[in-house]
Amino acid sequence: MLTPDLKHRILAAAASEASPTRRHRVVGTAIRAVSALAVPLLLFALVGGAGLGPRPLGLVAITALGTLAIAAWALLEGFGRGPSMLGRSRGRLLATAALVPVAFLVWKVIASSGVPHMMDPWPARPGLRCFGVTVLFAAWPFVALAWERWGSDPVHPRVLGLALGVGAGGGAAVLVDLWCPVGHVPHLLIGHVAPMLLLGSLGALVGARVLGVRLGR
Amino acid sequence: MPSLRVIHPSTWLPVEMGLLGEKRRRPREQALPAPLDEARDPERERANAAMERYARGEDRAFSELYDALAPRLHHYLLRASRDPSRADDLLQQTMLRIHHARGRFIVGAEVLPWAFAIARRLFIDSIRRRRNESRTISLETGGHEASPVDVAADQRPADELLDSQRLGSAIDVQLARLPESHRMAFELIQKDGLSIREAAEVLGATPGAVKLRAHRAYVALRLALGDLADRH
Repeated sequence: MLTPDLKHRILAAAASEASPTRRHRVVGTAIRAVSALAVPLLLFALVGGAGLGPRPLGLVAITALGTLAIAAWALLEGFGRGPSMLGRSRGRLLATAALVPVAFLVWKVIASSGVPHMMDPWPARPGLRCFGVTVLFAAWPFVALAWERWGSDPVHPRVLGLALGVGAGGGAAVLVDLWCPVGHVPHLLIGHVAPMLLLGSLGALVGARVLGVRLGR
Repeated sequence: MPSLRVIHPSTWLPVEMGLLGEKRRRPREQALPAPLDEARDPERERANAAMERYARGEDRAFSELYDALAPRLHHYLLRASRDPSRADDLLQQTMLRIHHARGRFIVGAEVLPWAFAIARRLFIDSIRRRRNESRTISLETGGHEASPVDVAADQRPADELLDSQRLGSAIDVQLARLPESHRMAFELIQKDGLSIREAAEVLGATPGAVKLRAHRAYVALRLALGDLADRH
């Protein structure tokens, strides 16, 4: 049975522990959002920026716009909560995590197949460098997204972690696509799609601990 | 003293049993008994308004939020844990999670399903932590007994009240035998007053799945309690 003593105890505990109001959180959220954009862009500039290679400018623009749209969708679905404090449903997050890598690959193949030699193999570039660069670009945005949602998901934190990881990988794939001229499918799978899956797996692995509501936190 | 907003079995059983009887005649057309109307539940509106003010920084609103949420959450936690002191602790943890997350509260969001989801997660977490400890759950002293306040407030004749309490106890026993997923869906909708959509959010399932689980629980209860239900 609820007692007045319990209420007093809870109110006193809450009063003794500071919690940021909505207005107080705005600054932190803005810093994380800006840094999640700025850090990958800075790294992108450090690794040399856009590399057209043999690609026509139109192809680069088309693939970049497509991947940008896919990444935006992934982040909107994965990070956005909609009108509910419990966020997107498990099925919707899983669908996002599954569809983003597929959509990215399909879009890249469709766009490249219209231009001769764009899907030719590059024996010197199996995709390992792109793999590393994608992970590098995605690392801070992933941390920033997870930080923003830290300890907030009481329902399906692992699936949220999966979606956030894939979303961060999708965002990084936009820059890597500008940087890398290779359209060979095995290269795309190893260098561009696999990092999304790796980040998604990492998100699922740490999701319960980092994103979940837990006792003693 | 906050008003007690505990939904005791005696308040929902007659309605439920009436529909159970109806189901026997038309098994294929049976619908679950309607939960509380989420749009017209004044306590729900009070909780949403208090949470909104609290998220904006009005510290005094936490007391009002507690009054609106705590009876339901405590009842839920008591039912789940069957341990009053544990339910108190989990309620405190739940309210503190809400307190810490107030800056994240979305304008216009519903606070009740969120609070239930936090309470449920903390309860599950507490079970995991105690898995290797001695089992403290007492099946004899559940949280379903009517409190003195409930009984005193009940104006029905003594026989009817006794029958209702017997029926409530019998239902509790049957509910305990159901698969957890079915029981949770049924209780969140029927005892805690959540809508099917909200219960689905709390349980991380689709509304269709929750409806099916609750319906199966409902059918199982009807079969198990047929005679008692008829007497009602």
